[in-house]
Amino acid sequence: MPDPTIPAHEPLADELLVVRCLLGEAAAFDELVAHWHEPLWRYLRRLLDEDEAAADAVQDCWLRVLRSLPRLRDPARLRPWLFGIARRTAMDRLRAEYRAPVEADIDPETLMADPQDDLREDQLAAMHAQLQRLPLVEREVLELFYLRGLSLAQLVDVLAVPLGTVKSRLFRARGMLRAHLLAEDLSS
Amino acid sequence: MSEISGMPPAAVIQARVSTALALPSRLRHTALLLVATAMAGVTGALALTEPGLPLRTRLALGALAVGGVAWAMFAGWVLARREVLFGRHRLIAGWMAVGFSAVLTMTSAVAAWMDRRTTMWLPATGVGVVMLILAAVLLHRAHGDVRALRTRRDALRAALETHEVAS
Repeated sequence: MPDPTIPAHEPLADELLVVRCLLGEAAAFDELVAHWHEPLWRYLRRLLDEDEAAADAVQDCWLRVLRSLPRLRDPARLRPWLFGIARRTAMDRLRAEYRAPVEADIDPETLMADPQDDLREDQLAAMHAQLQRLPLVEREVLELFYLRGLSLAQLVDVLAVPLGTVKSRLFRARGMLRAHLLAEDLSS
Repeated sequence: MSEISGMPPAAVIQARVSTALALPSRLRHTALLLVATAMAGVTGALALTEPGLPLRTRLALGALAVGGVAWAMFAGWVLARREVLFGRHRLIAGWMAVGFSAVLTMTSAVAAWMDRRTTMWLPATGVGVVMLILAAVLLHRAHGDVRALRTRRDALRAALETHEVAS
């Protein structure tokens, strides 16, 4: 479910920004940072769960963006490309920190069809607070899908997993989040 | 953009990006690539083709050529991975390469014409010609890419203006 707050012409604007950057227009790089810095930082903050680590990571991420921009084949796909770089930056840091793979294997038993049930507005608002309590994999997929407006197809690119895995992660993450929200409702 | 606790201000990132994109630092490695390539080419060609050189001279020229290749590889790696060149940078770098190669070729050719007792300038002229051809090809490609990007930029601006008018 794409974020309804994203204007329909945004891919065109994104592509224009990338093309101007590729031409070497200094103002375009400023606009790119102004537009995407906060979403990338919030995503990294969510993944790394620490202000200082997220601040370092977002600077590293922007350097990587700068160096990789000429290799962006489809400028209209700026959004998943940026989050893909941010994700790799975060994973590199986590790997260096823990010296172990951070991705948990998906249990085949949990692979189920997306029930397509939408979350209510109040649950989406509460998600911001509850998201931090979820494990990394589930937190990440909810962040990208609901809060950063990436489509399922874009998630396939960013997370580098098949569509079925994206759906199963999303399904499981929503279930976990729902359980957290219900538990909070009961306790309050 | 309002300040958010823990988030580095966008202005800090923008300043770092501007510094990273500063023209002199980006073109420094282009100059290094050109000089190192020329040095490697000329000294290598002399070491391989010049007859009657003492062994130690030949070895010294060979060592200079290897050093030139190493520096050229380093500069090439920096330009390909760390300080990638965008449209206008590529045009300036292309013109730098054409200019440098032309000067190298002409200087070597004039020296060869003035000092006809020896053929030692001919390899340098040959290296200059090869570099000039390569530089011209790179400049031509850069012009083509920039032209295509400008066309796409103008088309996108027109499409966005149409979208704004329609909405």
